Amino acid sequence: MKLSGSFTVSSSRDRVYAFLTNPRKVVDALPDIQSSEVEEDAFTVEARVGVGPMRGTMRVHLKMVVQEPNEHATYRGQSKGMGTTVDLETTFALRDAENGGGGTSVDWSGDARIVGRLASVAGGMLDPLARKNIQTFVNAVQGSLEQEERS
Amino acid sequence: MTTTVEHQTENLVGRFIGRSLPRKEDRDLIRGEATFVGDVNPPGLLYAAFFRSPYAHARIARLDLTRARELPGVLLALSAEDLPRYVRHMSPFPFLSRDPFRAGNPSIKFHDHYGLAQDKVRFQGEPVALIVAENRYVAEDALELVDVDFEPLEPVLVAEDAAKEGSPLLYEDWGDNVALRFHVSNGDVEQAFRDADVVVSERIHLHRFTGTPIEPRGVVASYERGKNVLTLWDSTQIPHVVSALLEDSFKEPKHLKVHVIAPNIGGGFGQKWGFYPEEICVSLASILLERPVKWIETRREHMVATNHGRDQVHYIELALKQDGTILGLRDKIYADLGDAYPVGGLASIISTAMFVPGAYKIQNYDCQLQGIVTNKTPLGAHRGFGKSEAAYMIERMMDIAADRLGMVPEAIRFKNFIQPEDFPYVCATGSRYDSGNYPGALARALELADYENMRKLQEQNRREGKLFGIGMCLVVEPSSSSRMGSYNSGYFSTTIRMDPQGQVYVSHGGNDEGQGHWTTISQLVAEELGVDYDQVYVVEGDTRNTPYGSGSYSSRFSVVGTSSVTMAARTLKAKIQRIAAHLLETAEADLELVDNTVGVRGDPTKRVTLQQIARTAYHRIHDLPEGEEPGLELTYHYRDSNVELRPGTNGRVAMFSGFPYDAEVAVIEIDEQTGFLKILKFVSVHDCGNLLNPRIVEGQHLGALAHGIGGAIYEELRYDENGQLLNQSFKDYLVPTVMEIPEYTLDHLISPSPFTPGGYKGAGETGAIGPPACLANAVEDALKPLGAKIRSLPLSPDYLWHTIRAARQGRNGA
Repeated sequence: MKLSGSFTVSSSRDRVYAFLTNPRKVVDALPDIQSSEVEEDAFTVEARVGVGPMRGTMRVHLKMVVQEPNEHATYRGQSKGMGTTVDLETTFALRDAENGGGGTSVDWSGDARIVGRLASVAGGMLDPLARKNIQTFVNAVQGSLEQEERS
Repeated sequence: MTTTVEHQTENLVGRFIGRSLPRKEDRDLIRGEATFVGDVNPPGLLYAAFFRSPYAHARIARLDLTRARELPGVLLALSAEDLPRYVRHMSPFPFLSRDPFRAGNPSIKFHDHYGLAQDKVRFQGEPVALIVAENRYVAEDALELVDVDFEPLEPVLVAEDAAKEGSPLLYEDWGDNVALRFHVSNGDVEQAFRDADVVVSERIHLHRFTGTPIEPRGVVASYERGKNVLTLWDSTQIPHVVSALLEDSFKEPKHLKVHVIAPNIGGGFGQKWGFYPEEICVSLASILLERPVKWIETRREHMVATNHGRDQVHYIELALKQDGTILGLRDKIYADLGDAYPVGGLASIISTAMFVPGAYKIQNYDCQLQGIVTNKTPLGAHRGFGKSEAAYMIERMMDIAADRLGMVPEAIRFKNFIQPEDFPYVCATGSRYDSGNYPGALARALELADYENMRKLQEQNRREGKLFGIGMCLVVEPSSSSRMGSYNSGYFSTTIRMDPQGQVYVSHGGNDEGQGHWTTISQLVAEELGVDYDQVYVVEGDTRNTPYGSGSYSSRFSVVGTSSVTMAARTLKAKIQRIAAHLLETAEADLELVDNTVGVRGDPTKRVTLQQIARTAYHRIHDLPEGEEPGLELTYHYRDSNVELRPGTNGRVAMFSGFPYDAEVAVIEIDEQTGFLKILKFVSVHDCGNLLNPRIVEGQHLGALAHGIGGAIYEELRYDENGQLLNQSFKDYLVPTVMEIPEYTLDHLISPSPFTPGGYKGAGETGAIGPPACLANAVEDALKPLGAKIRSLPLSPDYLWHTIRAARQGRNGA
């Protein structure tokens, strides 16, 4: 499953980059987290997942594998649980916002290879779920960054 | 609703045989009192669950069961590395040999499997680890704690691509993905094609679908260390074979004796004709823990881990004269075996290659078969067992060729049918077709469908812009398979005992998955011995209490099973007559067995009861004729006379014994706006020889037709690009219900087999074979005004809608 999108925040590129490459801050922005372990360039979380008739917990481990300060960063890793494995890779690329107001636009792309029970059972329900969770994450990032700006 | 019309040919009817007696089995089934594997709960029972591969193709980089083992309630966790100490390897099935055919067909590739994936996984759902726990909840929870790192590999999902050089390999040591190569030929095919006025060539695909028995698979294993006996309650079609396979597979404990019990089975359909990893792993768990262990398959497991069926691509060519006479047939088959092991797909695809010529006089035949492994669920037996694919191809080609020649579809069939006087007919691949009247059956089906008026109605519908089609087929279902070098060994054994009270016990080497053996055996025995139908009791599906046999498959019970039971009863009857003749001081030839007595025909004063005979045989042996052995018990081994167990030249061999067939006509209408196909009329004229119990035959045949209609219109196993099976439940794998099944008109022609004592030929599968071809022919007929072609199935609304739309836009909808 490939997804991509963009969002814009009013913060500068260095602040946005610092946020998105800080595993602690990323974890805090993720939805439905039950527990987390954070390292310098990686994090592991247990997340609640509910898709159609399936409910359970998945363990997600992501590690930063590429980073170019103030330009882009890539997390890669795997999620396991509920008879399912998801190989994940997500990249954030930063650019100056086109509105000239000094903000930052984030172009993100994600590639998830889902195998196992969820891929088979949830099928077409995964795409909207992923989009909903990503939007929740984006909203949280935007909110946190704007709060940082204000404080 | 089904309308059964009055038969035009005579059935063999006696006091018991040929009559629709109610099934003895049904009382317990209807009242919920029958015992299935799921009902077997010995004291101290533990529960097993399997961690299955989420990947279609991956290396196992690391497997750690520590956390799973530490979960309270878990007693055992096993991976592949634990198995070689106990398991030699999973004994191959069904072929014991890498080269069963010899004669230029040397290549079946085996791979040693132990029951759990070792180093690599090759299909989603492949068992990787076994957990045994105090209850099923804990076992399932422990699966979440199995820690595996997989390194994903590119999945191989299309058989034709997998056969090409450079494809990723499932088994690196093989050098390619071709597990089996088989070539069968007869006559002079090249000359036939040189002589042809017209050559019709097509690429036709038959999709992958599967059987869905109400009861999925399941086993309960219980090991007794002192006796070194493993008892396995198993939902299997082949209890004796599973016993032999397990004994052969285990190297520790030495001299293990395996007692398999197949209790009531909730449907088989071929899926339970196989040797599965769960059977060996759960057995090992019981051996190691010395406690009984149960595993019952979930529906999702059934869809990914129990064998699938069909999935073949044919490049098929017919050489024809302008008048429709077929001169020769060439076929090149790519059969998708999935991960091939350890179920019986290898045998199934060979059956396809043997029977593509179908019901037609085609002696110039050449078929090249490749069985190719892919990262899908292993292919195995599925109602129709390879003959379905063969029938689909030839019956589609008959319509396609007729269209090319400007003929009507019935004309090309009548032109090429094997004629009634040709039987027994030796077909191009060596099998001896027993009996039949193919022109008569199709003519009858057309008559019952009111064919001429339907064609007129079609013209009227077409004028109104409606898509109205008529399809037909005549499919042959070679039954009762026997194969050299395999567990299907060409005989059937029955033990019969009349006890001192005159009750009759029959045990045999098959077992029942719903066919009604208890009923039909009672009919046969009561007929032969003159006992009451209710005096007969049948024991089956228990390896300790029945003679060895290869089980139930290939519609073989009504061919070799009924023959074996009949001959056993006749042999016992002869002994009863000898004793009676001695007691009555008369000649054996003058005696008759009737109403539990033996007496002289026409002389009511000279008569003894069967109980008196039995008492004499067991307890007054001094009254027996000189040289007569005590007791009324014997075992009869019936050897099939219509098969060969040594291959001939060019792959030819007679491997099937009975040849039931079915002529079908379907009238359909397609809603152009939705692509929805409606069956307006479905006629079946079926010939399985004499009907031992017409109601049972009809029940099986109607169920089979529904199975075939499901495969034609609704059922398809779909994979995504990662090899993930997308439909693993009845939510998205559409099995037809009674609402989707049309009204049938059913007739039986009766042409008894000359090779079986009762003239029975096999029933229960033929109906599953015809509908895909019959309905595809009907759909293509309906779409003829648009020029659309049907070259794949199922005939789902979205497929038909897109096909119609493409044709309307000037593109071929194939």
